[in-house]
Amino acid sequence: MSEDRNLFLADLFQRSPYETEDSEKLPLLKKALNMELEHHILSSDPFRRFCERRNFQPDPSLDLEDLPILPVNVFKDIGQELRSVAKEEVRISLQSSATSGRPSTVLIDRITSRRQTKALSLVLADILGKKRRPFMFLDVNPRKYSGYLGARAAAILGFLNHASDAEYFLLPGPGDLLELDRQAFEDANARYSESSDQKVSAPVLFGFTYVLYQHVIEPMFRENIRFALPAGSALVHIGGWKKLKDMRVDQARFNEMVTQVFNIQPSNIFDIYGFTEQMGMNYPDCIFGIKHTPSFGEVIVRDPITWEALPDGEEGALQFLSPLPHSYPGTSVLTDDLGKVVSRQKCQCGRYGTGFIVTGRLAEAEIRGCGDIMAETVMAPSRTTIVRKEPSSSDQVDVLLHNGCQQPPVNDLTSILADLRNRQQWLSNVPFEALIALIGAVANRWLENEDFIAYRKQGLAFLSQWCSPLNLRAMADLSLVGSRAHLDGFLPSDHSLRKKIIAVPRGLTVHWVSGNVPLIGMFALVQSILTKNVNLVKVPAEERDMLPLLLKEFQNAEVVLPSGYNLKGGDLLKTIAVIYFGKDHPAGHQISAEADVRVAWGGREAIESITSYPKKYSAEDIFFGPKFSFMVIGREYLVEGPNLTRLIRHAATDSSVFDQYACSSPHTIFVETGGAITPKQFAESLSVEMEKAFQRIPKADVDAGTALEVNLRRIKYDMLHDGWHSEGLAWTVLYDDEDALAVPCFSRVITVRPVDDVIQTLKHVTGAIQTIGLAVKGERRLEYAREAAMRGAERLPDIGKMSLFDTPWDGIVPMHRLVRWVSLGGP
Amino acid sequence: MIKLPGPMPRLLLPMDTLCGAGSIVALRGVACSQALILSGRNLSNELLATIQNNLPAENVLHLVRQSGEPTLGTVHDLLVKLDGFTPDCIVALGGGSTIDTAKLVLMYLEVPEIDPETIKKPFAIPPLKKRTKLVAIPTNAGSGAEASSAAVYTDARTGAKVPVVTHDFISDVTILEPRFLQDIPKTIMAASIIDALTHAVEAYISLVSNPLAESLAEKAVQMIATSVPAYFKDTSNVETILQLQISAYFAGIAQNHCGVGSCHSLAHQMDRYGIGHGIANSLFLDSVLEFNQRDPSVKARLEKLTHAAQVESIQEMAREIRSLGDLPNGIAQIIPQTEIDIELVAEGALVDICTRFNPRKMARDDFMRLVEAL
Repeated sequence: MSEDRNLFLADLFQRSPYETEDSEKLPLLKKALNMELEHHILSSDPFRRFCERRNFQPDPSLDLEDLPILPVNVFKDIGQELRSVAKEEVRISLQSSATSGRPSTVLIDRITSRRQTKALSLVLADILGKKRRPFMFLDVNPRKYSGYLGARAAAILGFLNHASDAEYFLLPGPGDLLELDRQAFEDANARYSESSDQKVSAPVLFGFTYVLYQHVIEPMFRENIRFALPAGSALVHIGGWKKLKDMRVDQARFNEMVTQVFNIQPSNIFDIYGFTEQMGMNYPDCIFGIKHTPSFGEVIVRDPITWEALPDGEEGALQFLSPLPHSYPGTSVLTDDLGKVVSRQKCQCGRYGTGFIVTGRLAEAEIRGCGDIMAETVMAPSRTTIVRKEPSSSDQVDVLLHNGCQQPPVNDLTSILADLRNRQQWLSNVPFEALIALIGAVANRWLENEDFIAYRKQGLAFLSQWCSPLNLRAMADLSLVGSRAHLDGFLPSDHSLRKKIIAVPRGLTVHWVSGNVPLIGMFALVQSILTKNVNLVKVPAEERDMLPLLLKEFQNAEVVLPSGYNLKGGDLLKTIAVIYFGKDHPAGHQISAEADVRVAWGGREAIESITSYPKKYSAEDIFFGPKFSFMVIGREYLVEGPNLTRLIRHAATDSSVFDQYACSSPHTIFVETGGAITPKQFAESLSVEMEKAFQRIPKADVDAGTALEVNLRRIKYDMLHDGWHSEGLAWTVLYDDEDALAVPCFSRVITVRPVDDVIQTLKHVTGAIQTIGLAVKGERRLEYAREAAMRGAERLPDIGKMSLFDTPWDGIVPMHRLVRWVSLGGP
Repeated sequence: MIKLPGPMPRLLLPMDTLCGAGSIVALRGVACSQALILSGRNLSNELLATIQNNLPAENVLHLVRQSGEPTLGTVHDLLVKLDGFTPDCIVALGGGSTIDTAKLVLMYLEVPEIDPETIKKPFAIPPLKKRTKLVAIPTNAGSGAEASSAAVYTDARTGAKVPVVTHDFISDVTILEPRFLQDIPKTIMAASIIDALTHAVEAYISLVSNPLAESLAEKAVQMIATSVPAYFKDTSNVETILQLQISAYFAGIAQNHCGVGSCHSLAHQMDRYGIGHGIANSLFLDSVLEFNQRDPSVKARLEKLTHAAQVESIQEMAREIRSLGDLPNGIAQIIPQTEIDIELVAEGALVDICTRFNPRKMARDDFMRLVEAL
C-alpha cells in the first residue's frame, strides 16, 4: 500500500491506534485534519461556501472545538452533492442502512476506501490480534443476497478483509424473517473445535446487533439451544442499541445470553460503535466498557441544542473528527448519538485515547405540527417517520377536572359521563347571553393571571381576545343562520310567518386535543359550551395541565345580568370534564361511543385513530385534521414604501406566531418576480423583520431534535443556496428557486421562493392546504382565490392574519355543526 | 348598512314604514315567536287587544313602563319582569320615552354585560338587532324616536339626560297609525307638534350639513304649517293627524342626521322641573332662533327654510301652535320663575351634546340670558 498523501495521517497510521498520548497525538491529528479541511474547501464548492459563511479558514493552531461541524443528517439530504474529488474518482456511493429513516449517502474514492480499510484493520488488530481469523458471519451472504442486505453488505465486505476464512449462516426466510442454518453452523463449529491450532482457528462471530439478537440469540436462548464454541472465540457486533433498548435488553443481558448460547466470554464480546458518515472509524468497547478514540480520531461532546462543547462527564451529542474522509467533507461530523467523555487518562485496559461511552440517541424533532405529518406523506416520502411518544398506557384514566377540580384516577368513565349528561338540562336553559358574558369575563382573567404568562407564548392573548363577547356574538350570528337567538328559542325562518327553527344542543361533545397547539382546543370547547353541549375533553400528554388550569378560572367567576339572572362559573364547570389517558386505552372507545359530537385536532395518526373508534351513527364529527399552509405575494405589493414594510412585517408575524407549529402557519412564501424588489431582496428584508418579530413574540424553548433540523437547514442553504438566520435558533429565512412547497421544519424556519406568476403556485394547492396568506390585488385576487378554493384551500386571509382563528375554519362552521336544527310549522 | 370611510351625507331609515288609518294590520307581517309589547300606562285595553290580535307571535307579553323619562334602573326593572321571557320582537307603543325605553331594553337583551360607561360613548355599543327586532308605533306627532339612532335616559343620580347612540336603534318597522292619536288631548298634541317643528328647524340650521335630511326638514315644516289649522279645527280627523305624523317622522329623520341645537339643550334641562319636552322646546324656540339669527348665515338659512316651506316665519308658526293648542306662553304659566336654578340650567345646557350642533357658538352667559328671559 502506498503511503498516504496526508503525511500526518500516514504518521498516525504507523502507530498502534491507542498507544499515543494526547500531547503527541493532538498536534499531528490537528495537522492531518486541517490538511483534509483545506482539501475539502478547495475541492467542494458547497463546503467552501459553508466555511466562508462561517469565516472559517484552516489553521492547525485552532482548537479541535473550533473546526466546522456538519451534522450527519446533511449527508441524508445532500450527500450526493458533497464531493471533494472528481466525479470519476468516486468508486462507490455508500448508503447507510437507514434504520432510522432517511439513508445517508457518502461518496467514496480509492484514497478514502484505503484509509477506511487501514483504520479498521488497526482497530481490529488491537482487539482480535494481528493475525487474520476465520469469520462466521451471522448474516446472509452479501454476494448472494446483495439486494437483500443493503448497507449491511458494505460493512460485511469491510470486515471480510480481516478474515482468514468466511462463512455465512443466515438464510432468508419468509417476509423479513432470517433463519440460522443450524446444521451449517454446527458443522463449522465442529471444524474449528477440532482444529489443533486453537489460537488460529478460534473463530470470530460477526453480526449486526439487532439482527443477531432477533434472529439468532433470542430464539436460540428461548429454545435452549447452545453451541460450545472453542475457547478464545469472539463476537464482534455493530449497529447500535436503539431497538434492543426498546425491547428492554441492555448490554449486560445481551452479553449474558451470548455467553450462554455460544460459550463466548464477555471479555471477548466486542460492541463496536461506528457510523456511515465516517465509515472506517470503529470504536469497540474495552473490557471496562469504555470506547477509546484512536490516534487518528477524536470525540467532542456538545450541547444538542446550542452545540457548545460540554465539559467531560456531561451528556451531549457526539461529534467525531477524523482525517479519513477524503472524497467527501466528513472530517468533522455531529451525530444523532448521545454520550459522554468518561476519561482522558490512560485506561486501565492499557489504552490511550479519549474514553467515552454512548448513552443513547437524540430524540427526533418533536412532532407538534399537523403540517409535519402532511409534509411526510405528501411532500417528502423519504422523511423520517416519527411516532409521537406518549406515556405508556396505564390502566386508569386521570381525571384532571370534574366538578371543578381534579379527581382521583378512575378505571371507567361511566359515572363521569352520566354526571355530564345529568347537567345537560340545566345547561340547555342557560341564556346564551349569560354564557357569553361569563366566558368574556373569564377570558379577561386569563390575561390578568400571572400564572398564565407562559401560555401567552402559545396564543393566550389571542384566545382571550377571541373570547370577547363582541367576537363570540359575531361568530355565533354568522354560524347560526344569522342569529344566535336560535339557541334560546324558535325564530321565524327567513322572515317566514309559518315556519320557525331552533338550534338545540347535540348533547355530549368529546374533544381530543392535540399537542401541537394545545390552546387551540379551547376554540372548539368555547363554541361547544356556547351551543349548550356538555363537554368531555381528552388532553394531550404534553400539555395536560393547560386546559384544566384555564378552565378552573371559571370556578369563582360569576355574572349577574341586568335581568337578575345569575350564572356561576362553578355551575358551568359541572358540565365539563377534562381527562387524560394513554395511547390505546379502552377509554378512547368508550368516550367515542358515547359522543354526540366528536371534535378532534391533530395529525393524521391522531385523527385516523379516532375515526377508527366506534361512534353513534348520528354523531357529528368535527375533525381539524392535518393541514399546512403557505403565503403568496404578488408583484403589485412589492412597491417600495411603508406598505411594503408593513407587509413584510406581517409576513414575519405569520411565520413566527405559535412558533410556526399551527396548521395555518406558513412554511413557504412564494414571491412574484417583476416587482420593485426581487424575491431575494424580499427574503433579506424578511430576515430583518423576523428578528423584530422575535423581540415582539417570545419563542418557546427548542428541543434538541428541532435544533438539529434547524441547523441542518441552515447548513444546507449555506452550502447550496442563500440563508439568513438569528445568532441562536430564534429564526431562519431560506431562499432558493425550487418550484415546490418547502418541507416544513417548524421553529420559525421560512423558505422564500420566486415565481414568475403567482397563478403558478395554484398547482401546489390540494386538499391538504388549509391557509394561503394572499397578497394579490384586483381580478387576479378573485381568480386565484376561487381556483385555490376549488382545489382545496380553506382560507385565504390577509398577510399577518393567517393564524388568527376564524370562522369558517378548516372549511367548517363549527357552531353550526354543534347543534341540531329543529323546525316548527311550515314549510 | 355600509361602513363609511368618513363622514358624509347619508340617509338611514327604518327598514319598513307603514302609514295610514288601519296600517296597524301590518303587524301581521312581522314574523316573530315571542313578542313584548311595551307601552305607557295609558294604553287602553282595546288598543292592546288590537296589537295582540295582529301580532303573529305565539307568545305575547305586555309590560307597562314607569312614567317619565327612563332611567337604567327602570329599564332593569322591566328586564327583571321579563323573567326569562326572551322576545324576538319588541313593539313599542307610545311617545318618545316609551320608544327609548324599548331601545334600552333591546340593548340589554342583546348585550346584557355592557357597562354604563360604554353606553355613554356614541357608537360604542356592539351590533344589536341580531336577537330582537323593534317595531315602533308612535302615539304622538313629535318625538321622531322611531327614526332616531338615540335613546335618552336620565341619570338617576345626577338628573342629567344621557343619550345612548347606535344606528341599530332605528326601528325595523315604524307604523304611523293615525287612529291611535284621535283621542289625544290637544295640548299634548300641540306640544309634540312644537317638538317636531323644533327638530326640523334646528336640524336645518345645524352645523352638520346633509341635503338629503334638509329636504325632509323643509317638507316637515311645510306639512306642519298646512296641517295645524286643520288639526285644531278637528282633532279626530285621521287625514290631518297622518300629515302631522308624517311631518314628525320626517323631522325626526332630519334631526337624526343633522342633530338639533341649543333649544333642545335648554329643553333637556327643564325635565327636572317637570316641564314636558315639547312645552320646554316651545318656551325656548323663539329666543334661541333670535340668538342664532344674529349670525347672517344662519339668518339666511332660516329664510331659505321658510321660503321652501312657504311659511312666513318659524316663530309665527310656533305662536300659532301655542295659541291653538293652549300651550303656555311663558314659564310663569307653569311654575314660578324663581324656582328655576338659572346657573344649573345654563351649565347643563352648555355641556349638553346638542349644543355642539348649534350654528352659533354659545357660552354659559348666553344660556343664562336666555333662561333669565323666560
